[in-house]
Amino acid sequence: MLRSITSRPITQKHDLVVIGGGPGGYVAAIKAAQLGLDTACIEKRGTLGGTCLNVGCIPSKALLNNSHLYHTIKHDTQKRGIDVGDVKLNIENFQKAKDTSVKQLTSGIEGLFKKNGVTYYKGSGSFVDEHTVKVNAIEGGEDATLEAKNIIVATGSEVTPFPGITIDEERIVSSTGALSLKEVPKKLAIIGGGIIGLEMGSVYSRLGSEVTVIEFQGAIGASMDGEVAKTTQKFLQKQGLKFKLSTKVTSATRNGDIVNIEVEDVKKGTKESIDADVLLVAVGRRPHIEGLNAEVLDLEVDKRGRLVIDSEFRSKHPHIRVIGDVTFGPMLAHKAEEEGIAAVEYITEGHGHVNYGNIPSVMYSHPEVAWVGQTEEQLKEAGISYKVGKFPFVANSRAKTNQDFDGFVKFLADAETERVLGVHIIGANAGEMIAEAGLALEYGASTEDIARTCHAHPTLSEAFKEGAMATFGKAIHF
Amino acid sequence: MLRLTSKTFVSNLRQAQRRCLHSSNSLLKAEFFNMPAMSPTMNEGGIVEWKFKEGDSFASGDILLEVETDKSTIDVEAQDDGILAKIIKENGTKDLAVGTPIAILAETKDDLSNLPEVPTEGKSAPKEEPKKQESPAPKKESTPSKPPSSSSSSSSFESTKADPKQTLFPSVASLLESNNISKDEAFEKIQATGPNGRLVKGDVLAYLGKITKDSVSKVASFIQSNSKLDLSNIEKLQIQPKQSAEKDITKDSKKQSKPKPEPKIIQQTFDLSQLQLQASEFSEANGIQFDLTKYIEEASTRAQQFAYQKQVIESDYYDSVFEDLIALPTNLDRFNVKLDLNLGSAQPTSSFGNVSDLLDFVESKSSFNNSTISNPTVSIKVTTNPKISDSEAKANAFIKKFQTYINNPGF
Repeated sequence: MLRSITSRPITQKHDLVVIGGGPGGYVAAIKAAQLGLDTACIEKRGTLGGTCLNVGCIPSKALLNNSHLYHTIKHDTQKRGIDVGDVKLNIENFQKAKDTSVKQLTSGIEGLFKKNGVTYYKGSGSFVDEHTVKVNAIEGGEDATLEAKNIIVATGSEVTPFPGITIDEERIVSSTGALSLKEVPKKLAIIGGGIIGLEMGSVYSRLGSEVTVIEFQGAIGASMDGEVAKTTQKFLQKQGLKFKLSTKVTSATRNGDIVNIEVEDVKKGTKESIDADVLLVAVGRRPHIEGLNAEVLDLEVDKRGRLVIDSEFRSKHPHIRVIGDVTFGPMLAHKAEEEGIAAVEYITEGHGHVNYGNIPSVMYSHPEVAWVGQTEEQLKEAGISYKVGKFPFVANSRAKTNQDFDGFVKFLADAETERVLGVHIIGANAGEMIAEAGLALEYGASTEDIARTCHAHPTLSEAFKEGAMATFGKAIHF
Repeated sequence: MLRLTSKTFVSNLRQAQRRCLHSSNSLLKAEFFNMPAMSPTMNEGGIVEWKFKEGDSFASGDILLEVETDKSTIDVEAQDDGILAKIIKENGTKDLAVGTPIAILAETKDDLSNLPEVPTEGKSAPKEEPKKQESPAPKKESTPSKPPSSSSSSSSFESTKADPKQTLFPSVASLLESNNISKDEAFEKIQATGPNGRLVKGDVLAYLGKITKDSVSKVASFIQSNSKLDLSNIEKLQIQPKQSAEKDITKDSKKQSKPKPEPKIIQQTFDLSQLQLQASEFSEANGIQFDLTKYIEEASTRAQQFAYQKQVIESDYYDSVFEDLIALPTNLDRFNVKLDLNLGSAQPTSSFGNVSDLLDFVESKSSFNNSTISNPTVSIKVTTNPKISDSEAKANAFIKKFQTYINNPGF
């Protein structure tokens, strides 16, 4: 009999194939490799890190930090006793600084893949059947067919388009385009008062833009605690941002270098038109499964386009798990990371853990806003009786010496057991400080436990301790 | 007239509100507005004048009313936007204790028909003192014997045995110490509601009888329910793949519209030298003339039959009307095949190691012919039907089967 003649191996076998190299996918891949699985990761962007590293969290933080520095030097040094000469913005280098950070971080992940032995396929992955994934190579990659015992889908999300508005990424931009504007617009209009809109609004407002935020809801900050959202709005207004709440956009068209936006007050019905040099559409993100060919497996999708999973991230095929933005839960990089680890642990060990009640959110405006756990509104709705404890940074020594004392720490604790239910912080260092609240929630701490824990002096985190004290007893310094 | 800085005022107002509302009944949408303490020494005050009428809405920062104390009259600012739903204490009322409800404030969106009941005259609002830590003599075994009154609550939380290896929370440690309960005793007798058998402050308070077990398990089950993704009410999208996909494309204007499906052409050339060799051996051994061309044509037909059923099968399992409803007719043409046989003039070689790359997809036949020197080959050109989604898969199945017929001829 003749031996069947084989060609070069185009089918690769792996224990686990991860589709998507964002924060969920790459973390899952590295973890799986560390736990001994033969792991591959497919990414079609050309660089790893997904939306977060390439066009999301990371580049925006570079812009936020540097624009804050610029604004401080320009407006805030005199009262600190520092006389500075002429301060100028070099937008080209300003953007370059951002690009450098992004490049270093994304190539860092490639290094981590090598170190941990993750096979990296540059291309887009699509299902052939339930155990086979085809890689359509992009530049620098090679076509391949992968046969996998387990598959993790981590294809992330994409910008939700606004019906009727064409994004050209030049005058009408998404968050991606807003990250690399070539000049500072005189007038910037933003549809959407969520975190992305407010962060980008902050950046360009500091660089000199006149910023108008148009939000359909009656409050900014999406899922923020109501009181925190209102206070944040006040701070941002003080910085010069204008807000049009309960306002819907009826149309936006580009005329040359100007964008005409028609808006309507939802309550009163009054109409108004706004002109802007740049319009940022930041109305949210939606799951991204285009090109995945999930249809071939009949993977179920809900009405908002999310892939349907069970509590162990399994799709209808138990060996195919789905994590991150493309499925349920908040669209946050750190949530996807947690799920990546947990999904891999389900594969290797049969159990994993993500505490969805303890996923922090941070907005990197100035002051920063950070929160974890429940909001007052959620507690009211659930019928949980609670106590509130607040401590303002104006009474914190470090904040005073920094001359940067806007905001407060707000604790929500169960009325009787004093168990911490939620923490909400507005303040210069809120994003870092919220980690302590996460630890408290994870361990089931009461406000007394935090109040009895020694915090260094003089630090902003003393305000955190005093907030806890104010909840179970009384603050010392306020 | 004195005007307090907003910050101190806010805290006072918040405290006043908190005492009566948040901890006593947070379910109320509309909230009592109580006589605020405008200074640390103020115990009672009077209402000079309300600046708004019942039903008026006010904005954050508006002056709601003027309050008089023994020292001065003070403007009271609204903390949030809202509606003055009801005035309980009219202008001119005097000697109202701090904390007495004087009005009902609602949020703009609240239902005003469902206002909380005004407490009966004379009594000040229930003033909740911070719980005092000084407990009577340590009660030890006496208190915790009461069965947990969980009958009323819907909380499904099950407390667990305390993990004896844990480091105690400072709150737990100090409660145990002040009640003369040893660590070992605590692990033995106090049920834990914290994560992984961790004793939390509420567990000890409940053990000491200072709060009910119900309230501990209520909050624990609330926290537990929040720790999971709510996957209970998923509204699945009814699959209409074609339509929704097209809609998305038109919406997503920044992306280029997708090209219309085009027939896919797969060309492949197979080396026949091995087959020819075997065929001639076969003919010699059996004395029969072997027709290679016929064999290949037969192989192609069989492989097509293998790939999909062209003829409708009659079977009890198979109701053709039903099948038509749920799927495309099975006998639709998925692809068509063109064979190009090139027997060449070469002598069949007997070397077994002559392995050429069978699965090379060639752009055009000619380029392949150039690279082939003398081996006999058969080229197939498979054109798929773009209207049927599985046609490519079927075509590939055909090619695979065809290949096995060539490589493993079963004479």
